[in-house]
Amino acid sequence: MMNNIIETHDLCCQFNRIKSVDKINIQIPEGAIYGFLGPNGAGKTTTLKMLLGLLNPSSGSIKIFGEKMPTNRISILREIGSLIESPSFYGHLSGYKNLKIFASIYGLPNSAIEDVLNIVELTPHANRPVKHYSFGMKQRLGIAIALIHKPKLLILDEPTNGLDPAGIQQIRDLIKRLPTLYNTTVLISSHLLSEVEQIATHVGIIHGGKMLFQDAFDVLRKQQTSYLIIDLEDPSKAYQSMQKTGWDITVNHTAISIRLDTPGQKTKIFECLKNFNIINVKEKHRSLEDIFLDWTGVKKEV
Amino acid sequence: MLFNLYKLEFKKIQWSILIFLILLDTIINASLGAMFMKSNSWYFPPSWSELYIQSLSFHALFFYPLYVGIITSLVCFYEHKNNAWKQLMCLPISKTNLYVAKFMFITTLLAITQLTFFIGYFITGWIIQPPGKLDVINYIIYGILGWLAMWPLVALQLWISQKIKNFGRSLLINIFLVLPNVVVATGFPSYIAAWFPFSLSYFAMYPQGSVLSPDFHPIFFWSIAFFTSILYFYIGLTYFINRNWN
Repeated sequence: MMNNIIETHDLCCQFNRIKSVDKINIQIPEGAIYGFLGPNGAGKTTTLKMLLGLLNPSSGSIKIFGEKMPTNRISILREIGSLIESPSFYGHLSGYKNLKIFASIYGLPNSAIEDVLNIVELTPHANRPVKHYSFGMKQRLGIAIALIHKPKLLILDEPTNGLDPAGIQQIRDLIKRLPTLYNTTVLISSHLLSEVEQIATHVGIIHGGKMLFQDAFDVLRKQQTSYLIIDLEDPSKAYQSMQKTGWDITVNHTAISIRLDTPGQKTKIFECLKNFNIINVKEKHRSLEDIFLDWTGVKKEV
Repeated sequence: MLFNLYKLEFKKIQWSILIFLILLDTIINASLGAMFMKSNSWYFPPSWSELYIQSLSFHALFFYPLYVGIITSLVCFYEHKNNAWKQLMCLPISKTNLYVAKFMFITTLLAITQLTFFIGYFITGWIIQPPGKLDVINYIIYGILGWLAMWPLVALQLWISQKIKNFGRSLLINIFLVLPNVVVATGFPSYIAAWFPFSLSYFAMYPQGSVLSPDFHPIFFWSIAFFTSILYFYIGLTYFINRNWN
């Protein structure tokens, strides 16, 4: 049994009667890379800000490392590194001096600054003022600040937003290395399924302030299925005969639709249907993207 | 931890701006002091104390309270810019310590400003050599009292500055609030004027016993100063601790 690094209970956040987060229960096991997925405005950032104590929850409770937030705010924050929205710096100071400020708050030696500059590959630019950095460099400096004290938990809010593909790849590789590098648990928010799919071991999907799904990523993957849609002259009769043999099947007035668990099942299906007049056969794949859109976007618009 | 945060403020501030401001205050007031002493010499015979009174007026009425606003805005400016407050609040530091560190840092900068003003006064006096005796101890006391008298304003400004993100707007508000000082500090008795925190250093620094001395009641004055300092500091700190950082 693994311990949960983060646990929230019915967490709510309300501004002017509008609930932006509504009874969220997050559970993040130790060592996980947890993808917090949802369209823009779903309540991701608000949730992360509550976890960090930047916003006060209107109700519900938060436990991080088994301690209560915000009661034990300081001791919890000592073990967390975070990057919320765009990174913020003292622009007139160099990258090195910015890191120096954070290092001295944590009481770290200068070697920690050099280590983390190496990890995010900013060593060559360490002495330039941050206001002359490119967007990608700023983002990496933000991650360096979050990592400088080798935190047990790293919270990143849309860390690849606005980066070019090379920058995205760089940050993705870095995040993937973290659990082994420092034994860090990572909570990363994103509005892109493809993004989360590539790095996350666990996933939580939030929409309209409510949690729609939360589990290991493999469980979500199992939801992606293929269906065989078969047009028949007499679909209801075929439906009755197939149902008896235990297929996961639905019917309408022109066709039946059968869920495929393995591609090999197709021959068996055709075998069962040999006495019926088949007009057409289509295979439909329901991808993770379809599932995600079903849950978050399309449903709302229909 | 508190001392650490206090030291950090020294690293963040742009000293070039600050040194410029402090020298501006010193040079303008020292020159004005010397000029007015000369032009008024027919009414008020030149002396060290006359030079002090002439230098002090513009410093205590205008520059010093204005600088409280500017320095406080500047000390919060780096956090407002780029939203660095949020990043600071995600660090394992006590919010109270951070607030107190900022308060201490502002008062330190104001002490430097005050010290430089007096150095400017001494140098000017040394150049023009006015007649009479120079009572250094007295001026040290005026300097310290004038500095302490600005604490209520620091507390008030720190409360306001954490809200106002725009440095220019903050500066404008300060100038508008400092201007009525000329009327408030010179026209009202101290127990009324002391409620207007911009006016306090004028009362605290102006020598008593001259014709133009303000109407000063030390007990009332310092009680009001003490009470308002605590009040503004407490309100500002409570707001700071409980606010949401969006």
